[in-house]
Amino acid sequence: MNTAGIIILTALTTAALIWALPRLRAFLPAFKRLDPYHFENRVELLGKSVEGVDIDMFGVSMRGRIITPCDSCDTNVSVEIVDITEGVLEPLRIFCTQPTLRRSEGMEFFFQTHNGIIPGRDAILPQWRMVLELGCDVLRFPKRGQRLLQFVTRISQVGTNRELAVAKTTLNYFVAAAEGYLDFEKRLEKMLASGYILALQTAGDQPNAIQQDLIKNWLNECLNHSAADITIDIRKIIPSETAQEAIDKACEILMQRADTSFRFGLVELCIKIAAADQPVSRPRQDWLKSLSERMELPQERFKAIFQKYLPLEAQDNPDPAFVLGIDPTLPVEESLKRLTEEYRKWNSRVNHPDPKVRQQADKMLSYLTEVRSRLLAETQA
Amino acid sequence: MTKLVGIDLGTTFSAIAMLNSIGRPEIIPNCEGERITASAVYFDEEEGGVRVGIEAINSRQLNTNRAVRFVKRYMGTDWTKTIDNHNWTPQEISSLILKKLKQDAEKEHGAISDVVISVPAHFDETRRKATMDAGTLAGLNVIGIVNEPVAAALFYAASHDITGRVLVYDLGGGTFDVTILDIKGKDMKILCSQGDHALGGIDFDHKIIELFEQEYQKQCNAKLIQNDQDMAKFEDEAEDVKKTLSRRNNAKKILYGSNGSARAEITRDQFEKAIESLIARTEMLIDVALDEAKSTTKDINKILLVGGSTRMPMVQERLTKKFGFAPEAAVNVDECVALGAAVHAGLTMLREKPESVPQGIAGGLRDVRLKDVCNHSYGTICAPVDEQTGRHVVRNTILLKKNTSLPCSTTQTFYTMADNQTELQIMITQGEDEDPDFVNKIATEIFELPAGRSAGRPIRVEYSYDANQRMHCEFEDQESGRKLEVEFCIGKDGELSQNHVHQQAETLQKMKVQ
Repeated sequence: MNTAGIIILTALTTAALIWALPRLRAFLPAFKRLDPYHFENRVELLGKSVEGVDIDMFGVSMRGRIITPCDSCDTNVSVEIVDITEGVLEPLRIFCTQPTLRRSEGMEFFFQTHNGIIPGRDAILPQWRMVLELGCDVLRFPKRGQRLLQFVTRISQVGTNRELAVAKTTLNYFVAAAEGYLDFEKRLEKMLASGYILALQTAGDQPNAIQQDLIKNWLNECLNHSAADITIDIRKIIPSETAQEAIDKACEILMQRADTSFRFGLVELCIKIAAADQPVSRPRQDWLKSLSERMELPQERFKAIFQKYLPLEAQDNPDPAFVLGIDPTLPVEESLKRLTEEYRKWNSRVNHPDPKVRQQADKMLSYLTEVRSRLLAETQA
Repeated sequence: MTKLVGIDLGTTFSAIAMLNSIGRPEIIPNCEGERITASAVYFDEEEGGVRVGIEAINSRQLNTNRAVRFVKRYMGTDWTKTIDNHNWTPQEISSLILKKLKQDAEKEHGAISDVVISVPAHFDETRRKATMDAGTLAGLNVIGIVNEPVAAALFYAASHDITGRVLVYDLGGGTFDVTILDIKGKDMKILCSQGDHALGGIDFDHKIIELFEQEYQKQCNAKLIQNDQDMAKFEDEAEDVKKTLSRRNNAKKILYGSNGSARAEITRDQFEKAIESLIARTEMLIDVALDEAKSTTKDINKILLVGGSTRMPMVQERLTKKFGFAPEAAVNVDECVALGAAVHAGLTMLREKPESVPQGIAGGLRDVRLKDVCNHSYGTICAPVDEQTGRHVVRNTILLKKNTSLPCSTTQTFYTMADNQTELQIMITQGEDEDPDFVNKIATEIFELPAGRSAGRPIRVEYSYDANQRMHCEFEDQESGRKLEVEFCIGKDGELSQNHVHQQAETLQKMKVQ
């Protein structure tokens, strides 16, 4: 081989290496690490005060080499997060409450934005560039406590969606604020089973079609907030020997695990169930009252929903103390005051456009005056 | 010369008054020579015209299907009465009563147009608008609406020298109102008004009918009232008995029913026992009003009686017992509302078109001042987190509270609920309840917001209400500066469109009212 041949071969080999090496580095992690400019991402935990409240923020940045198939390649950058606390082979999803930070379908967190045009085929982003600042308050983690989160930053070509560069990094984060959705599902299962027991108790032995629908709709509504389906198997979840034992256990579980909102919703459901089988007998009225007491609900709110869904005509032998909140043990002055308050409330409803509301208000006003006269007569006697 | 007229469009009786040349209101008698006209309408089958007043009452027993009484109770509802294939609305029937008043007044005083019509204080927006429409259909220019107890107090204060806190007890033919106000000379400041829409003379009459029914059942072993015709007849007889019992301790009637006749004697005691629950209802409303005015019975200096039903001795006795002094009977209880409405017409004209008010009238009303209050609470629907239950609850939040002194204004900030919320459904409500199911939604608008923002963006809401009962609502997205404004003229913008009113008025013009 003459000198010229050697020169040409050397030049060709050098050119081939120059062309191939970066490409090899991009595709093979082992090579990639060797590249001092390899594409990488990092996550910093930042603190931020929003309207006086301190919020944890994730700051995701990227830097390094991006190889594109053509010059002036238009690109997007995306960020995904998974929880790999239980192993990379069992990643758990992280949900997001903000619709703009989700995939088009589902609740999973996904962020994508336009990254811009990369001029050369082998471009290097030398400095860390912030891709995303994300408030942790919009994320729903699977569980509370110490979690290992994996952040994946990806550069892709606009149009073809071809992946051009990808980097992964992990961060240990302590989830303190919100309850994890897996924790919630587990808790929800017990709560729903307890609610189911109490709803069935309200409906009696044979729930009618309306009552069955009410229970079904309530379950569906509760489950929509969760990520998984739950089949209610009461006996398995809350084993008990007698109906009373089941009720006691259900109440105990709800007091331990359910918040006021859930308990209020459940009592509201029970009132609606009772209203679906009119007239509502006195024992059933008493059951609803005792249920609201066991659920430790504010009695004024309970009275308001009771009056709304169970008007006088829906009650069999209504109890004034119960309907109007007049306790026989109260001093007369106090009872009269309460009656005046009730009168004010119902008198303002007599102008309502709905004739049903007007009729109910008229009946309540007559009832109120009847109770007041009785009360005054007793005092005078 | 501008004639300033006030009309009391009552449930059982109506009256019309006009300001004289020195600004004093005077009742204009009808062409039968009576100072009040029964609010009854009878559609004459043979002559094809309409009879209003005492003639209608006398005729209605002939054919109850062609008669209407107590139409005020149906104002603002979708109630109709079909006569000769026409569905008569409460507005149309009321317009016939107003037409009769107008027609009779014009015979003596020439053409009249500018009027103020009185309504019960508790009437809501729909009912006020329906009353306005009735006036327009009768060919009147309704320059304002005044609350009945306010009108009565206005006349009382304008014609008497008085200072102190006054409770106006207005128990009319079909409605009951309580108003508490401070009067200092001719300066009046309303503190609060409360009302009961279904409590009045006719309810007392029905209690007497129940007594008739019991007596007839006992003596003849049969039902006394078997059809509408019987009901019309005994309603009139019960009214007679009620009036007698206001003067005497007992009243006697021969009841003619399907099983022969029975002699009924009703004592005042019997009657008072029967109406006890209704009187108790008035007492409860007084308690509510006192509470609202932050007063006790001891703070009230005078009680002014308004409305025919206040003639019942039991009413006066119970008030004397409750307050420790006798109520004032200084004004004619049947006429004072119309007289006060005429004064209100003068004040309204002086405020809006002072140049058209004759000097004599302007001089007569010079010192009269009235500071009114919001008749209802106004709010908006929102979904805050309920502190007691921890859930987002859809709730009516009251911004302008009932009985707030006018003019008034209030501001509150609400926040968007969802991320990327691009519109907000604005609802303006009228009513005292927190539960949206129990309030009237008087306006619904869509407020468009910028896209791509997270939840919790502040929306500033301002409600203001001026002395002319004009309410202005403004919703402002504080970040983008976008605004939505809504304006109402409470009790001034009729429910019906101008075209509709024109068409209906033309039809009604053809009706001959006697």
